[in-house]
Amino acid sequence: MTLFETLKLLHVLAATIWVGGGILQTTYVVRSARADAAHRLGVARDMVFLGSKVFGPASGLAFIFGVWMVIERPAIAFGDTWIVIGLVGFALSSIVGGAFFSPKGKALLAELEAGKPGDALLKTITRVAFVDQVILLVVVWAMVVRPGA
Amino acid sequence: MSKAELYKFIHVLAAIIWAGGAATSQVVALRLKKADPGHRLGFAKDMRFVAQWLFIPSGVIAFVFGSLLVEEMPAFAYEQTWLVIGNAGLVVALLIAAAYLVPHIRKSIRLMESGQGEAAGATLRRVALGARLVVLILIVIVWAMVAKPGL
Repeated sequence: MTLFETLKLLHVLAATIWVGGGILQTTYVVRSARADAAHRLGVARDMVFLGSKVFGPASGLAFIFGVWMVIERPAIAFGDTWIVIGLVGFALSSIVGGAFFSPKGKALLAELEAGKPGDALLKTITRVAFVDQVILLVVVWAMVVRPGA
Repeated sequence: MSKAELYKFIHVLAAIIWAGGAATSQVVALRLKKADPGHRLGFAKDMRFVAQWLFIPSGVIAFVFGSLLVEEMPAFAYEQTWLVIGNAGLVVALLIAAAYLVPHIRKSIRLMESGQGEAAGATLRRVALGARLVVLILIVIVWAMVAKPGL
């Protein structure tokens, strides 16, 4: 396997965990709206854990290996439309993750641990999660179709 | 967007949902050892739901649109090593998920609901082993799709 293929494999694996795991988590969060208090609290704890220990590192690795691939292959440039879409999507999703999901997830956890239902926060997190998934789907589309390549 | 690009997009998206979701489920499952029984039961019910309505349909969609892509691309042939690995892996992973994981998750839910926590725990441990095997197979498939040995 060449260096480029190795970088591509690592980039794809990291992106798969980030995007596929995000879709799974959104499913769990949507289902937790009808769950009992114990399960809802467990889902919130898992959400905070996954955000900081799995999705954060996975998105960072997808970014690093993606950038490395662009540097490694002369035919690919940072100015290519599909790369620009990928980088903008990564930046937007990272901002949403760091500035919204991280604090709101912790706030939801605090509400649930205090014995409150956290319905309003859960609804807001679910809505923003759907927007984040749409951003990531556009990135996946750009990586597959490669407009401007 | 050409027909081949559309097929590839749907194929990749379905594969991401299955492989990424299955790998993430494993991380959550590892945390269950310290979880309270209510969350454990809730997670098992969520797993039954995602296995039946998310992972297995995604696997089937990945298989169907992967096959359509092979038909569409003259350079691809089913006997090429990377496609043999992909098809064989996908079939094995789907069989494990449908014939082993889903029935055992259902069994563990029944055991938990009837208060047989220890038996449910043993069943869930077997489910976790099967699920890890599926994740491993999916990683090999991703490698084959990226490196394309035999093309």
